[in-house]
Amino acid sequence: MAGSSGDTRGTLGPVWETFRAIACVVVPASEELDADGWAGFERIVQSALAARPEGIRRRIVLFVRALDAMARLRLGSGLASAEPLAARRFLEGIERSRVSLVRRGFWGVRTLALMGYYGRPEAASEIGYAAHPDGWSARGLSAGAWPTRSGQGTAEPNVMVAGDEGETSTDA
Amino acid sequence: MHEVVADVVVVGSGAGGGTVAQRLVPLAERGRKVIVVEQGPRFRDRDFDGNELRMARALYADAGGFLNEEGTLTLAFARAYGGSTVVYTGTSLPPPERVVRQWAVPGLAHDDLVRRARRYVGENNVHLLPDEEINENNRLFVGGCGAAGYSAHQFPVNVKGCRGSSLCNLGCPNGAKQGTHKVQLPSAEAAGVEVVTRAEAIRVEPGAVVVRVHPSEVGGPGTPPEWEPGSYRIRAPKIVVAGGAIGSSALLLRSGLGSGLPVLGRGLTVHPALILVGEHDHDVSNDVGHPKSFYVDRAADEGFLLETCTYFPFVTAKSLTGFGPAHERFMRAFPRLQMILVLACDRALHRNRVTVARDGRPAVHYAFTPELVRRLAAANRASARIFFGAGALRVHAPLADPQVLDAKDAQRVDELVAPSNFQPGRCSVSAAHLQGGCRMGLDAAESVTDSWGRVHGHPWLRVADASLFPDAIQINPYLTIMALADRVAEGVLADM
Ligand SMILES: Cc1cc2nc3c(=O)[nH]c(=O)nc-3n(C[C@H](O)[C@H](O)[C@H](O)COP(=O)(O)OP(=O)(O)OC[C@H]3O[C@@H](n4cnc5c(N)ncnc54)[C@H](O)[C@@H]3O)c2cc1C
Ligand code: SF4
Repeated sequence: MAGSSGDTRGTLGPVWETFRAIACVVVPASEELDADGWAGFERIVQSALAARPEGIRRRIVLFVRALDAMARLRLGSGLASAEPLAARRFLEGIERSRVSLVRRGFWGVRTLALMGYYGRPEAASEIGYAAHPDGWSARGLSAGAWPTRSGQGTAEPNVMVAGDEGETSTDA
Repeated sequence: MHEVVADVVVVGSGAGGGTVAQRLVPLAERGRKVIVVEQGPRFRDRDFDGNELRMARALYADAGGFLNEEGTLTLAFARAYGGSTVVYTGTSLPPPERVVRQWAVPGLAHDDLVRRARRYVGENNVHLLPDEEINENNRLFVGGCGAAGYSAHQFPVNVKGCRGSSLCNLGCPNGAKQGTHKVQLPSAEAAGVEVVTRAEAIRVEPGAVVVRVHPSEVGGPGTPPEWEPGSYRIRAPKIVVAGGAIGSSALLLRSGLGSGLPVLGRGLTVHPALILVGEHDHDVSNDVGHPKSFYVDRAADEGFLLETCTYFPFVTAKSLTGFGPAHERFMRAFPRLQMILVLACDRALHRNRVTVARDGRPAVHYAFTPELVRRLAAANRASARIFFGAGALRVHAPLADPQVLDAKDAQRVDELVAPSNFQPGRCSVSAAHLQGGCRMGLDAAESVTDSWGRVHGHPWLRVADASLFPDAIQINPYLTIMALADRVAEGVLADM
């Protein structure tokens, strides 16, 4: 795993290595992040948590600890040192747990990992997301000049529009 | 505590509050004092930079991560001058006749709502985008609907000078979206209505609103508050609460009005929504162009709506169920993803409600019923058919097992998608159409207000927002909210 920040500040400080291991399972590409990439990831996660109520922050840390303890029981090692495929299978089981509390806890941790990775500005270009305030013109296109393969026309409108006080109901 | 005297105080400046502010202009013109208090900031167009996390944090409650108490549903609502109209997509539909009839609110007629909605259709420049402004994501939807046997309708939208940034839900950087922050509030202010931002109503009481004005966040977007930070008591004989479905119920409950109004906060509906994606073999222009141009309305028949949509990297990642290589593969295919938002029509239930926590913050209790999950599954099936009809190679459907359907599974959609695959807390369900809590009706036993938004037993107090809905509107709600707020304002004018 490249570029551990070793940062122990912030809500997740005490469980950072475990959280980071979970993040690498949730978004395998995060394995490739360098030290700066991880620093950006961690800044996002820690500042998102800092804005949440104290109770939620405490529950997330507790849940990460509980996951690690369960992994030790099931896999014989904590998540930070577990074999990646085994860690993934383990977390897939957690995600589908019959216990709603466990599913919801994992959803929260997963959400943070996805935010840390896909919330980085660099992630947009990595995945090819290119929205721009200037819209069509930022692409060097005028509206609708995007090459289209589907070529269908518009459906019949069932609407109320400015200057046309005709049709009023949306009932089918 | 500072003391201020006014004739009317409006709490909240969204679709409801912004409309009331403008409709009370005749009072301001007669020299009466109308004050709007809005807890969110006033943003300038240049504040909307399209940065997903920064904008979510600035605009949305809990940075867009407001969860129900069960932890199974994310609720999206904004806090800003203009309320959620700052982040809405601007799709503009009048209330369905069938729904208003089912509401059966004594004194509320569909015709009246439509007549009032029409005013805002004109004022807010509602129109159909010309064909050349429709992006590929939307064209694929229309084509897929044709192939799968669904009839797609074009959404009228309220934009002026749209440049097709696709960033509507993060605030329009081009000032194109005609929310109340662009139309009703500026015209009200120009005529003498005073709007105070970063001003949170803590409680209402007969003849007064207690308000706390918060300072700006250092380095944060938005303008400073118009009043000095601190506590205020604004005395006014008339108070109109328009804090949105969650904000209004919470404010009235905090103010101790719950004891005489047993259904206050109850009957919350939200149109629970899932985001589905279909992967194509070519780029789909999902991140340029107005995002939401078409929809399929199956509300009356199957209890769901399908709408085109475009989301941002983190929200898309969060909305896809699962994780690991399969999840990542979809994210890496981002430019090739067609997206559909499915919305289920839920029913107002006593147990789905807004309460207040000990610290005064709103809390939402919301549970999914088996009927609702069946509707979500039916919507998943319809979307999968539309994606494959449009030529998608693979589809991500949260209620399918497996969740990723290949084109070869296209004929087996009915079999592979089932309500039993829905696990609350595993599927990412979100909601942006928050309705109910201060429902209109006949009396205090079964409702909170009458059909003019007057709170039963409290003649000084009215409600004017989505919380008035007695049940889900089953279509995008803002025009109906404006029409209701228009009625409420007319009542205030008549009182004065
Ligand atoms: C992302 C998104 C997209 C949407 N797209 C569409 C669409 O395309 N078409 C459509 O019809 N609808 C859409 N909607 C829904 C629509 O925006 C809302 O239904 C509508 O704005 C609700 O109006 P409202 O007046 O009830 O509340 P809001 O518009 O949310 O306004 C309430 C305001 O009150 C303020 N407030 C609350 N409590 C207090 C308090 N105690 N003190 C002071 N201020 C307070 C809040 O800060 C907020 O600004 C969308 C919503 C979202 C979130
Ligand atoms: S798509 Fe149009 S209306 Fe939406 S944010 Fe961009 S410019 Fe504004």
